[in-house]
Amino acid sequence: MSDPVLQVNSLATHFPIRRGVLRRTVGHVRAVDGISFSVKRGETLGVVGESGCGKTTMGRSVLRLIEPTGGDVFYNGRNILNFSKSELRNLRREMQIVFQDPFASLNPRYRIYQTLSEPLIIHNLCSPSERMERVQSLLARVGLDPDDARRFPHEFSGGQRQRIGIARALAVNPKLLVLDEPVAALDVSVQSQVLNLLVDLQKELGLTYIFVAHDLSVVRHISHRIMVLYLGRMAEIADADELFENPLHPYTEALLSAIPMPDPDARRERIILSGDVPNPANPPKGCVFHTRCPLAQDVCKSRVPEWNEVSPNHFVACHLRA
Amino acid sequence: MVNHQTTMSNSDYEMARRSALKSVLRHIRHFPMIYVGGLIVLLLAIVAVFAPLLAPHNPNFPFQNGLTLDGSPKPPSHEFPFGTDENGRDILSRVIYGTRVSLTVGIVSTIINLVIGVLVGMLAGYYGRWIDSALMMVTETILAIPFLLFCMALVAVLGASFMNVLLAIGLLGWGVMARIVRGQVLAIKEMEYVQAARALGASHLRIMFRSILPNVFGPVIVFSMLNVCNNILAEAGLSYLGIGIQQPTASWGNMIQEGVNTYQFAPWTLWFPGLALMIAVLGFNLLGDGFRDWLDPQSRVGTR
Repeated sequence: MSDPVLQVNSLATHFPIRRGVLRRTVGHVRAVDGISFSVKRGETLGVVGESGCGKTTMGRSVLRLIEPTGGDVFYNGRNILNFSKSELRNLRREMQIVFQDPFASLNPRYRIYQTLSEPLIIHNLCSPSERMERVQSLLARVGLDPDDARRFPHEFSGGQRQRIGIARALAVNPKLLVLDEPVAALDVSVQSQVLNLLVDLQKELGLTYIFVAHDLSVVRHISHRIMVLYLGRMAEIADADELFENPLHPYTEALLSAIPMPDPDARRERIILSGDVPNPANPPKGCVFHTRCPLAQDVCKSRVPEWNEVSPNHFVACHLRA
Repeated sequence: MVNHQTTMSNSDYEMARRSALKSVLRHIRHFPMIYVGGLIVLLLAIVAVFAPLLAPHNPNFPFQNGLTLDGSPKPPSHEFPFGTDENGRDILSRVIYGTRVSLTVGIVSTIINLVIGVLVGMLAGYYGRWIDSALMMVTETILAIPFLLFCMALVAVLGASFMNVLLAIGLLGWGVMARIVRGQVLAIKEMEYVQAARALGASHLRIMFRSILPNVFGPVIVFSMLNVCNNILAEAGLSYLGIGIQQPTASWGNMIQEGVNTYQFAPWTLWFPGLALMIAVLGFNLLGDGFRDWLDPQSRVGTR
């Protein structure tokens, strides 16, 4: 097995719920609750799940944009949760993030030149006289016109803005990118362009991606392995094709059955989950999925399922499919 | 900021700047309040700057012929267009010189308000937690005390002078500004572009003053205009009460106070400084309202 760039062990991010005059903590929202995985160099790990399952929180916790409350994150063998301020600052050159909403992720008062030269200034990556050149080559790299540097974000379309967001993340020459639903806010035709750009960049620059999304067909297109999250916990992880052809967790099956088929005559059993995602402040006992699982048994209500390797590299947390 | 040596030449930027200015002017056309308010403020500024050239007489000189034979003020005439006051001084000249005092106090104290308010609001909104609680507690306290009473107390302690009036108003009037800035910062610091700056490793100072501050400025500018009015009125109020600008220096406030003595038989002593005050307040108010409408995206519907 090639070296893991990122190794995450039982990562937890809990948000306190404060109530009353004294703002006492009355409970915790367990947004991310014990997630472990590793990512290899040059690999894309897809992360999927419903809204509110902790995907975004997980992505940001890995970068320490949100401070995790427990667990370890090893980057190249060093635990970044113990990093000092200055070490963390240097780490920012290695790990970057691309945000979901291209309309909120660019400072509306900055010209593109300013947005893209900010990382160069912060990390002192080049002399002031080289900045414009660097900015223009970044723009060219993501398929935009170098002369766009003098324009403001509101002069661009969503897809163009997302390319600028990608260019900003690339400005520091990172090794790892957290892509937080980078195409969810884009039109379908533009989505594929941005995805192809990401694939090309990965090949050219040897980038490692953590690709967070809720659209499974998008994830399949780009990921080598896929992790399925439910209520801040891992349900299943497997190689992309294995997961699609042989899903084991009932939740994964339900997600896959919801993908629209291009062939209108194709008949397939749809698994429709009833009810909503339970409150992560008060998760169900046993398997967190048992309240909505079509196959739930008594054992699911009492015992937390173990994390089993069912076949090589295919892990699942389910009593019935282990 | 911008490097001119590379493919984009200086003149390219100049053109972009000019077309930006043009589009700004095009938008402003739909907001006549900005024009009217701006014109009034501009006129006042010209009067203040060129007061020595515009005033027909020395504002502080009691003219022998400035009083009637029984010693009362003279009504407006060819020689004294706004009449004279109880000391025989030319009211037009005093109103003109009073413009200097009012505008200086109004604008400089607003700048002091702005600096303190932006700092306090930014730190409170950005850091949150106990820093927010502590700073907002101070702000609420300042806001809870009647402004004019507090100014009076401060001036009474420090002594009545132009500088102290300016400082009193400047140091006490930042409460609302701090609140506005804090509210804006609370909203903007959650925006993804601020998160992006954090992810890039930007320092707190950089995030506060480079990423957030430019986006806070719209509402702050609007409020500053309205704040100038309040501060001009505060100065007039203090001077009216005799603890502001001291005689013989002319300010609209102390002229109104004097005018009250002679109002019964020489009402013009009250009219003209009062009118000047009204026009100044109107001008800054219109400008502030106009800016607010202009910056409010909903009011721009149909004007694009």
